[in-house]
Amino acid sequence: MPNKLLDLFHGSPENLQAASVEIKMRPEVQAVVLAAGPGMRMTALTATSPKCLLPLATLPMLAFPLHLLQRAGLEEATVVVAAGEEVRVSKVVEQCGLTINVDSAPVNTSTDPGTADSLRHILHKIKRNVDDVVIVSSDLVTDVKLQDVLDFHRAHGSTLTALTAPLTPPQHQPAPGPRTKPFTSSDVMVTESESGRLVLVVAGGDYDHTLTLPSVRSSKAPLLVSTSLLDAHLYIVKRSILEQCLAKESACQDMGSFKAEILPYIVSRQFQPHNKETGPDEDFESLVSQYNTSVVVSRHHTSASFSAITCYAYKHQGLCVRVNTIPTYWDINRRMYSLIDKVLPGLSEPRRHPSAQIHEKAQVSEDSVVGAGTLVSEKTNITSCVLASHCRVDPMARLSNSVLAHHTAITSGCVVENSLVRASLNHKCVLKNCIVTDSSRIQEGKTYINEILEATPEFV
Amino acid sequence: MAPKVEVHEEPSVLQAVVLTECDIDYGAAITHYNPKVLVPLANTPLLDYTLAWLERCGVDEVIVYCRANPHTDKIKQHCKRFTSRREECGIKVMVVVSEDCLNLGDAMRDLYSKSLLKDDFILLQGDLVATLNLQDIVAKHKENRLSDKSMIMTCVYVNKPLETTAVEGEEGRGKEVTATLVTAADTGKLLLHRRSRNKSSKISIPTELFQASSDLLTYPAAYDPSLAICSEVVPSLFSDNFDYGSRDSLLRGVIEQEELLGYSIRCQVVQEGYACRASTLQQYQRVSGEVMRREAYPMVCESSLTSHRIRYTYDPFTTTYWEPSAKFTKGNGGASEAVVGAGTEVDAGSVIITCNFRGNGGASEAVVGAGTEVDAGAILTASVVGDHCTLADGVIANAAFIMNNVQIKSGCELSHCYIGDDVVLEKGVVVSSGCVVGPGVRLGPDVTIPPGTQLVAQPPHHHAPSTHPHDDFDETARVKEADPSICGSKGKAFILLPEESDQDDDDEEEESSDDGRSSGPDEGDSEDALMMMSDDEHSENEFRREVQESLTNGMRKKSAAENMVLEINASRHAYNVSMEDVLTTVTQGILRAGQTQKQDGSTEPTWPGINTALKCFADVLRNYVRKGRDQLLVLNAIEKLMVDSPEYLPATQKILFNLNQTFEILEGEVIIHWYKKGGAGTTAFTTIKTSIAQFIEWLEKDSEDDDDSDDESS
Repeated sequence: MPNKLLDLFHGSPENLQAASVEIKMRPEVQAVVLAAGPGMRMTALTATSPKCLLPLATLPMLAFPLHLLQRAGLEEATVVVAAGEEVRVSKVVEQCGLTINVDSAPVNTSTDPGTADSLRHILHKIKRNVDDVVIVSSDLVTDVKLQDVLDFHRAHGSTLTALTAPLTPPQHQPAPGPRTKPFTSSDVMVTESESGRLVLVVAGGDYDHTLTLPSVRSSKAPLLVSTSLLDAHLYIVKRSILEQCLAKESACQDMGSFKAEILPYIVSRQFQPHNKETGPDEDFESLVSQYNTSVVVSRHHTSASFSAITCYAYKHQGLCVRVNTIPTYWDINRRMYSLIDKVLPGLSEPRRHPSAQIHEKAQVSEDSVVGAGTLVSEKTNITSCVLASHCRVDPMARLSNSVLAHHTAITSGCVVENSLVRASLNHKCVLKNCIVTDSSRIQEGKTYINEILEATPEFV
Repeated sequence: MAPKVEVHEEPSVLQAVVLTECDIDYGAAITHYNPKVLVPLANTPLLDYTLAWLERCGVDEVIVYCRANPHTDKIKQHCKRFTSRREECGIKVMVVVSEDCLNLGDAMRDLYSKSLLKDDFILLQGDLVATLNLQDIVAKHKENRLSDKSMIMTCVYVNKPLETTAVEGEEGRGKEVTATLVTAADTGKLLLHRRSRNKSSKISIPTELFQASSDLLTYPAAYDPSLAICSEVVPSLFSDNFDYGSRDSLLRGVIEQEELLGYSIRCQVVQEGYACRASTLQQYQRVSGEVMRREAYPMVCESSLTSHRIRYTYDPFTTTYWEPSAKFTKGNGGASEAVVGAGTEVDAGSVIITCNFRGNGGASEAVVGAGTEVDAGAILTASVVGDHCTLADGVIANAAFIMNNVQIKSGCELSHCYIGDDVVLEKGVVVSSGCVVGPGVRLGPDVTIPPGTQLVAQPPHHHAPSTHPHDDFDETARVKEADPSICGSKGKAFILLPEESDQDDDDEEEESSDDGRSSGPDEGDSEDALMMMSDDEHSENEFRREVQESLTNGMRKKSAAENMVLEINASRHAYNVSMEDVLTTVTQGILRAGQTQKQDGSTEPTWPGINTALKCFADVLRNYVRKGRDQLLVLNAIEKLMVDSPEYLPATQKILFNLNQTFEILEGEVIIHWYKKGGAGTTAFTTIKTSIAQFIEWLEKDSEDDDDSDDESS
């Protein structure tokens, strides 16, 4: 190699070219996509399909974080998936025309592993030479530029950067299915209002009557205690600290969730005055002050800045949605027509797939998404719908404000409004605000309102 | 610069209330001779800074509020001088004097009763030096008030950038001057206000605040210049609630009883501009330095705030100011020629260190008044010298505040001290940090004044001369002779002891030299603690008295039980008494009501009296007795009553009998249980035991009978 390098300097253009092929830039970042989640908040949908493969418009959910990583120039991502799904997951890339290499790592979901357990499972896959690890959840749909977050992370010398965004209520309400209480995130994030430095993270209402803020003596900056920030579950963590936290003997070895336990732990470590990392620094500092009296401590020099750990929240003002509940799933599907350019820029996924066959006498509204191989017959009326690939809509069916999963057939005469259909409707029926995952319960000519029509569990 | 007079089209006048009796003063050695607000800061009385600022901000009318004391005339004359230079359209200053005004609350109540406040007004302390843009603040206040009628006050805080406060925040800014604020991020509504007692303590936020606002903005330590824009509701609130003493108590009251009062308070945390109160001597020194360094621009030393003429020559290289008539002898024409070495650096902790002077007769960050002679060999750093002083060769003054007509002879060293008018320091006097040398004191030669000493020219004989100055002070003072070991052979000075030992534990880290100075804030603290302690007892006593009163009245008027309960509950909420205490008090109160009603002179309670009282209030008592435990409390209360007044003893059995049988408030079983457990365990129980033994026996028998009959029936 040294010879090659020398050649590079004196060499001819050919040599230079040869060398540039050999010398490849060291990857600074490794990406981990956590896609083994069972989707506990949307069991009606995840009973039939793994959460990460649920379609958002015509694409599986997983494609969105992968495309996000690809946009930032990452060439590889480790995807943690539930055991048994790895083949389907690795197909996602070719299906969606992504170029990123996916290394799927199956975990056994029978023991219900937490995110931290998943990370421990793939710890050996994290390369020793990367600086940072991007951990992203498979259910993130955002228009953030990951490059910006990475730049922010590096510019602040951050140990851990979390992507946050203002929490926005779904635009399309109500979601189909029975009325449920809206799910509200009760995460509390405390940041320094200007710098965005994370001071405290409390996950999911894990607080008592009072919330104790660590004493941030170094700063007079006001602290923003926020319950309206969405933690997007995209973290950039220094590899060293991640390894430390996931190591067997660390204090976090029993922690199951990255967000709820390890993240608050790392954030709180910032303000522990004597964490191990400061040892050498302090020695050096005392030596300097002892032997070099001319050293003037700068005004920015505060004890807190010595702490090896500094955590920041990157506050993204654009779109940032976690698709982990039925309302958010519903909302993002309905909005996908207008969002697709923002969240998947450059990915050629036309809203009307060329292979879709739409009968010229069918009325399909402009803001509908029609996937590949979908067949829309004559005398149908489709308004503001999402039809995934290989659906079939028979004549005389009327669909409005609805979302159809792949391979769904709608028999003629069906009227579907504001519904989520994941199984073929073989009988003529009327659906309003329904979720259908099993059509065997649908009877000819009936009307269903606000129902979840799913396969009844065996024990009932 | 000409006075900037804002022409307001709107008919409303903008008023400001300046309180001159600030909560903390500088100690008797200064304030006995001069009111705090007239103490010169960089040779300009403190009050002028306030007035000039208010004038600049377009305030139309200033009410200078002071307590009646010998200084009142001085303040009046001063205000007159200030306004006499103004045109008709200029600021109006009105001095309001009150006889008995102890705190801000009293002042507000007084102004309310005098109905001097018409609209929104600015409330501030007279020791504030500020350059904040008040017009913006007031405009925002009015705007907020239009959109939110419940908003009654805007508190102004300063969140200074890191550089100026980061380090000195610890000691320089006292506990009273910073506050922990929690505000709603969108509106700025104040949700939590807490004085940061302990710097290192963590901030805890009640999570119920999230219901009020999903985003909270927390200021761990915002500097509080005691500045507020109040609406006309504020004085009325003060007069409705006599327990509101300070602005803090109003804040607490309004925040805690938001649902009840329906008022809210907003905060404006200002990032730009200067505001600092010269509340203590430490702060005085700090503000002096900052004014000299022109942080309070446009209020700078060289221009007179009264007349706006340029009175001093200013040298920006050494940050020195001098009156043209000041002499810098030995041909060293003024401080401007002093060679400054390494430039000046301002250290963070309220101490101003000036670096490396080369050459003699130098000054850096100094103000020198008219007719003062400073010898070339004298070194002044961060110091202020008044008019007609003499500083001889070799005098070193670091952060010394020297008033008028002071003579300082050669070899004196002054640091971080206050030297009053007409003081004479003979050769070789060393005045250490934190000393206050009162007017007319003579010291020396060759004495060292230990840190933190307060010296006065006349022997002190009043405990607190600042609060009760006597006219005959001088006559009685002559009796004592000065102690030469303190003030030197030619000296004449007496040590003024601090009013109370006020060293708090948490101040230990503070330099010993600063102890004397810190007396101001510390005093406040310990007093507070005392108040808190006695407050609880006090409120309990008050509550007892009130309940007794309502019971006695109720008996006379034969009030309905529910009205009585209402009255007692009102008192309970007013004094924040626990339910148990209420029950105890009510029980004893009822029994006592029986006594007071019947007897005329002798206090012996008679059974008929008690019986009528019991009959009268059985329903009241029943209202409070809900569980078995409450019955025990009633019994314990009766027992405790016996401890205090054994004359009830004979009636005990009858009382218990009636409560058990007639009114059915106490259950037999509970009485037996209580009896067997030994009552409340007070000394009176043994006697009670004997006196009610018969009743207990009967009860036991009765319950056995009951059991028997029950058995039979089943």
